[in-house]
Amino acid sequence: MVSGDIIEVFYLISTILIILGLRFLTRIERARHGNFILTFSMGLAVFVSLIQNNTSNLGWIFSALLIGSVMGILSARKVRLTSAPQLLAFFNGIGGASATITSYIAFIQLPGLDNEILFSARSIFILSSIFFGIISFSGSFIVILKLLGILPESGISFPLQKLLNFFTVISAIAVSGFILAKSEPDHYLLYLLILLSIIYGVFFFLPIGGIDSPVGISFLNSYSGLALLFSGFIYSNQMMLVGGLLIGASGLILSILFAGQSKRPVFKVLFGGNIYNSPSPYYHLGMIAKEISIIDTAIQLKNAKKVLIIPGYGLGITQTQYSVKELEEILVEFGVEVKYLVHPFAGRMPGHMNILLSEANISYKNILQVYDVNNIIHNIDLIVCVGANDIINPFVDQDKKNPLFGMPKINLEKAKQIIIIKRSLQPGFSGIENQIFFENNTSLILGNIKSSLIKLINEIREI
Amino acid sequence: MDIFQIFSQNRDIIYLIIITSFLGFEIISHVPMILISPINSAINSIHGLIVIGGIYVVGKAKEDDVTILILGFISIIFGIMNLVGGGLYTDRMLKVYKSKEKSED
Repeated sequence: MVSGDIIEVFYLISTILIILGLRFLTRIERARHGNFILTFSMGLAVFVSLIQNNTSNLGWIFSALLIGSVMGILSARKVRLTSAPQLLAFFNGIGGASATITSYIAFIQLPGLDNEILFSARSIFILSSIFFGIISFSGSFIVILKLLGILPESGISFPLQKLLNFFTVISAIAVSGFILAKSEPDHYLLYLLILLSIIYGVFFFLPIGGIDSPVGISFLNSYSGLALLFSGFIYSNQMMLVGGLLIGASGLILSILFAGQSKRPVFKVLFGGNIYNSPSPYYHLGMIAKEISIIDTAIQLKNAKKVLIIPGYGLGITQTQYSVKELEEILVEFGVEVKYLVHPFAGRMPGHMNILLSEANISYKNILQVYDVNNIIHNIDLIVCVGANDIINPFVDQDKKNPLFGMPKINLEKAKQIIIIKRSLQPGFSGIENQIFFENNTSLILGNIKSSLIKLINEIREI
Repeated sequence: MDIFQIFSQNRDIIYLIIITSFLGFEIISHVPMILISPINSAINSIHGLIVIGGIYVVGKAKEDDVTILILGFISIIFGIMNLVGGGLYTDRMLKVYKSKEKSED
């Protein structure tokens, strides 16, 4: 068996490898190696922790490790990339649950000394770890329900929400104070703390909706990072400490980065909970959306020189990235230049759409950013939007209370011709009506996205 | 004076916290857009290190303390699932970019 000193050395090696792995992960060419190094070094740290002195119950530990690994492998293999945000939130949730359980065990093992209160650094860490672990567990649960469409994705706002969150935190601190002032672990007070943490987690993540949900997912990471950090303090384990700090910091940065994309301060995203009334539907104003036939679209596409495809989340749900790739290939055969615009808010998670497109072998070199496109949009003959709605809403720079406000705007009003392939005219996740459907240069192909695309491809082949 | 004492007693850990936070910031702050999803997933998998806590708890538990053994057992399952699943799923996301690079060159 190995002594504690050697374990510390291995932890140091793992820490260095984790940092290197993360560093590699920020570059496309090396990202996969980076992830391998990262996973390997964490495996090393876990293995080293296993072989330390006086570890009993190895049977329990190994069977749990085996079952968990198999479940992890299966879920990583089976879950489609479209559902990446749900799976991430799920992993995050069970991570939070894991932290809560170990901290709970540490709590019931706290020594009950006579005439001595529980107040100590260790017990504070235990309560903090339980608090953050549960927030990340219950928050993940809410985020998953939203992503699955069981809860409205636009977020649920209610009056006095900020006040409620504030009071929950205050009461959680007060209850923790009572727990610490006793001489023995008080289970009922702990259950109260757990309840308060659940309330906080639920009401913190419930109002974060629409375009802000990616920020919510990054924020979940931060919370579970904090839970890991405090667990690291409980067991004075360097590895968990460093891991928790890295996640806490980088999760926060990712949230800020992403909120920055929408020019909304993070605290506003998290504590905003605006109640917003959508403008009345445009057809009430007598505006009419015009449809276009598949044949006409095929002719227009074939005659165009430059075509830009804007995919939205509808493409992800219907798994039509392969049909889109097919459309690209056939158009390129006819000498049409095809580019893509991936709006940073397309998909349910930052970078989600890039993965879906890459899955269908669409080159990331053909993927443009909003800024690039806005410079050349008047030169593009035809813009095809597939399953997109909120990201092509021109309303984003009007009315600060609008949930879409601050999103990067595609200057579609300068576009020559827009064709939108979409299921229906229903508003997107934000619940905001989209004026672009009713513009003069816009035509729509409504109905099942996949079959529309297949018909379109066949039509282009035939004419 | 107490605050200064706490600081000097925990000097190393305070340095660690500050420096690691900046490190986390530095590492992540230059991520290209298309890598944000995988890196989010990778960071998520780091949380699987919580399994060390579970191993510690079960490893130190008495053999007849079934409550702790079962709770620890569940905690280890969750933790390692987060670690292994997160790592593999990140790889699956990244593989998507890799295969395409080859086909182009």
